[in-house]
Amino acid sequence: MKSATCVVALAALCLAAMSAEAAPLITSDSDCPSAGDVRARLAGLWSWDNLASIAAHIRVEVGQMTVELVSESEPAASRVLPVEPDCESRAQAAALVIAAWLDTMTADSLGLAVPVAVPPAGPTGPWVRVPVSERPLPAQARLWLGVGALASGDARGAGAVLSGEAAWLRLAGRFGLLAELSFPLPREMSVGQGTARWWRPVLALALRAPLTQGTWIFDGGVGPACGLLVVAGSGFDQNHTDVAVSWGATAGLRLAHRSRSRWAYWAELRMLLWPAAQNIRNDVTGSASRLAALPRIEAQLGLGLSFGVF
Amino acid sequence: MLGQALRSLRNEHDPASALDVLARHAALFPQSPLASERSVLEVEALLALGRRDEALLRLDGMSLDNTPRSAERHVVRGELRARAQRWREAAADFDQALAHASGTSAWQERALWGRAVARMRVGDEVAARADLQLYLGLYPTGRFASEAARLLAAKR
Repeated sequence: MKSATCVVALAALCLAAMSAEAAPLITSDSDCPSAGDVRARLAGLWSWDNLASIAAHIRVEVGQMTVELVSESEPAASRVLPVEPDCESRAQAAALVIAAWLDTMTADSLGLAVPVAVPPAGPTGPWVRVPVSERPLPAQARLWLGVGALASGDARGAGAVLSGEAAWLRLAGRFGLLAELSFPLPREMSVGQGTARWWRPVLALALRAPLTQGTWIFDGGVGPACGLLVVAGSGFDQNHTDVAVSWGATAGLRLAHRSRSRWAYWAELRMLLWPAAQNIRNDVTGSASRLAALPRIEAQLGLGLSFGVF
Repeated sequence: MLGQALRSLRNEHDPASALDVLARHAALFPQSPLASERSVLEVEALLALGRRDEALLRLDGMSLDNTPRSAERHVVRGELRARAQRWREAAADFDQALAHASGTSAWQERALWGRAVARMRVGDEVAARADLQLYLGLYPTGRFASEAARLLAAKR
């Protein structure tokens, strides 16, 4: 019993060092079930979305199995269960207990359930307004389709971008994928005596993860980008058109508001990076070539909306 | 079955399905040693569905003392009781939560604010004022800080 107390105390200390989204710390004084068995059973029973820091110690005695749970800010508590005959069932039972008590009840669903807002005190003294109950947010869809309009800026000036996207949320834990096709408006720049008109639609694939939960969701993403650069000259002695592929990377931060329907509205700031230099060249017979470098870093800021399909 | 309910609730964000599975579990295993866990998950699913009156009914029937994370659940029940205007019981829940917890987590903030409001509603002005002052001391930029400050100013 003393050693179990020590383990629980140690677990509490470890908890203090754990981040809010760390996996639960599990220990066991038995091989049946072992901590590893319980951890394996626990996988899939909880999500990263709303995880509270918790540590669990499993103690097996004659006829009973005790699961001691320690959270960051509360005293330890135990659940005593009858001992199952086999290790697998014991591990499953312990995992169920841990998972059931693991998730913290969200401030969004509960704090807002009773927003005990107090309006300014009147002459009769303060009173409490209990608002009418709010409808819950629907279950979050996993496939979202969206469109956006963004302003872009780079070393060559400003532009505008229209984008369309498909996002699959929670593909692996809290991580999802977003595929986006963006079409900037064609731009022009002077090169020697003529003008080059260039256009670079981009296909980007980003790994995204929400940083917050609730009605307002802040999420970030990063991933590779592939651009198709189309350049056409005008006003030159000989006008040429060329097409080239650009490989790069994209990273973005998005603040989205999820309405009670399946619509979400968002604002996003993203960066596009093109590591390889790309130039537009004007070859003039009898004199040196003139080069104009295409921007390698682009910033985009814009608004959009998405619809949760299912 | 409880594992299935947990997956529906936590990973698939489908509290209605989770509730169905939990109801079947209750029918098949009314005396299950995991009945407490089943109740906790039922409350979580009901809240996710916005069925707060039913969630409160379940919580009213549960003994929250000596359960894991009991203080946090006292806060939840206190808020639901406050919503039902059961102010004395709500204040008692917030009391319990604050008595058994340490630190300044989000739910402790809710507990302190909730207790201040509940105490006001039952006419315990002195204690309510103390809670408001404590709240502002601990959470000067907290979620209810502006309202707490306004209330304190109004009571001067």
